[in-house]
Amino acid sequence: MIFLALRYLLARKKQSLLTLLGVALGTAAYITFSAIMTGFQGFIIDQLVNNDAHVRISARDERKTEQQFQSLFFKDIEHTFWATVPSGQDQASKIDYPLGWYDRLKKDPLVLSFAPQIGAQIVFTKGGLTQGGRLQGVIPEAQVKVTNIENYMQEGSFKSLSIGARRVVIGAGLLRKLGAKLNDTILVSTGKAETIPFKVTGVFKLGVTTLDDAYAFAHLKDVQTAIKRPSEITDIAIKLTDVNLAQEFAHQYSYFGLDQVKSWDENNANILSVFSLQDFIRSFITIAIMVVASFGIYNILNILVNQKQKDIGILKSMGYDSENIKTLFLVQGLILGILGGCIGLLIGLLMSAYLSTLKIAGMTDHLMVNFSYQIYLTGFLMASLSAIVSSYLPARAASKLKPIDIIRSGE
Amino acid sequence: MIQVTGLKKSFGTPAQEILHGLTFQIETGQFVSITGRSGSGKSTLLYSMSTLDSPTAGEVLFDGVNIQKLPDPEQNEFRNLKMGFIFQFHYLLPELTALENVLMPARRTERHIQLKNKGMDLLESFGLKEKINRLPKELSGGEQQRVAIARALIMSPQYVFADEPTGNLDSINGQTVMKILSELAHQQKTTVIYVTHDRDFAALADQKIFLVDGRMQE
Repeated sequence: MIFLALRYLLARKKQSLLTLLGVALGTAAYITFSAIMTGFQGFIIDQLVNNDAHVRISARDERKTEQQFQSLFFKDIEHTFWATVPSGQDQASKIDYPLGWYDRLKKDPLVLSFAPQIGAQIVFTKGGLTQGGRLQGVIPEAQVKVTNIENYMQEGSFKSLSIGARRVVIGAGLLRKLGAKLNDTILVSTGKAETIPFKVTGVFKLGVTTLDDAYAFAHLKDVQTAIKRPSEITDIAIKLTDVNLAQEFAHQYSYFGLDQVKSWDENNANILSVFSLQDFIRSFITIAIMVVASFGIYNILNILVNQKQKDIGILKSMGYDSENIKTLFLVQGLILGILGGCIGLLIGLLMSAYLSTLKIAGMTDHLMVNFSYQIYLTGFLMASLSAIVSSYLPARAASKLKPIDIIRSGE
Repeated sequence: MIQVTGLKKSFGTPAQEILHGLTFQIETGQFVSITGRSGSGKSTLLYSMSTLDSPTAGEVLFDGVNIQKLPDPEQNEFRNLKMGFIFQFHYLLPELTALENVLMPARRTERHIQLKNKGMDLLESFGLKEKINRLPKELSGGEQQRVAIARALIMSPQYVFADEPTGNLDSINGQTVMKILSELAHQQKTTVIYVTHDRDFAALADQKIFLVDGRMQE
């Protein structure tokens, strides 16, 4: 029946081409949407997972409650009435007992590596230029085992932080804003101590503007000294053997102390919820496009079945059975679906390739495009499946026609 | 041999009987005409005999076998291998050439390549040698009907059922078609059963079935 199905399609070139185009554009739209959206999402998730930590233990920023003030100042008084209710917060939160965490983390087989950190808001100065940002104190050897920061070094090396005191690895955007270059000295000011000179020994570029324009890394001890918080840490970044265990791991560890333990996805729940919304919109748009394309196939075949009733009658009189007739119309739908799907894959691939070359302003310097085979496979399966579904009904209707009814109606 | 026993056919609700218990038999290789006025049940009889339609009662045996009682696959195979149909309208597939149309029954069993030469010979014998690659729309009415006859004969059927095969043709083309069918019966021993309004064409038959209101008349 493939022979006859092809002849039917070729005899209606314009109709067939338009239907084919509908399927192809639907598939191409799905691939392009998905490539851009999942490309961007994948990039962001990669940044979140690999440039931060799978799990982060952080000092809890606890607000002081009036009960705390009462137990401190008026512990013998049963009812205290405040003229002005007191409030406040610790000057600087810290992890109270990091060694306990280190011990536990070292023994845990799920932990690949961990890195203690201290973070501080800093004002960077170079000449007359000043720029606010965040200085992260790290142990370079531990930090590179937890994150991929080394892969994003533009100049210098991350481990150069250990070679001498007061060295800084700085984001490319921040460096540019300060008008500095590698090996220059910049001044770091915490606001409560004197300014301290740091030598730029490395430049990183993660491709995320908000990080590249504001972040810098220095050795843990240098930062602790600079902000006058010796031996203190604010965070422990942890890399696990399997990132998928992060949430469960964080949940279990949250019972071991008062510090906050959060997995990367909990820390970025708002971003991930935006991604979920994007995925929903993408699926909705794609389904809408494929439904339109499916209706195209359904319509063309439905019209064809009506036009071809006499052919169906004569074919049945020749001994062709209902299954043959069903196949005749299903094959046409499948040809439109598969061929349209293939053309759609090609258009989608070309569109994606073109889009990946586009420079855009924003979080990344160029459009992130996902070329994963899964997108193409899903696009192709969707086109084929919608073709099968939309051609099944007309095919079944055709197969049920009785030759005698058709022949009699032609008399 | 075809044996028809007590063949009845009704249509509609309440049932209106069109054929009233017909009984007759047709010997192999006979040239048989079915005639009668409009509404006498000629075509109904032809289609009820030929398995395209099922009788309300009675049975039709082909060499002792009731084809209607066979499972669908076997019925289809019997129709494909043993029966040929010719209709008043040619019913050629408009997308296919004359030769491709002729070979359509053979395609069902993938024998179209094997029977290609036979198809060409049939078309040549019907005076269509130059037109084997023409589409139906490029042929005249008579030529289209001859292609339809070639299609009915490609599988060398034992039985050919023709429903007013000349009904849509002028007299010259009509005579040509009847000559082909008559030769088929008399020279190749194919049983040909045809419905006609034309008395001259009916007179050519070896066996004449004349229907009046669904009953046979001598």
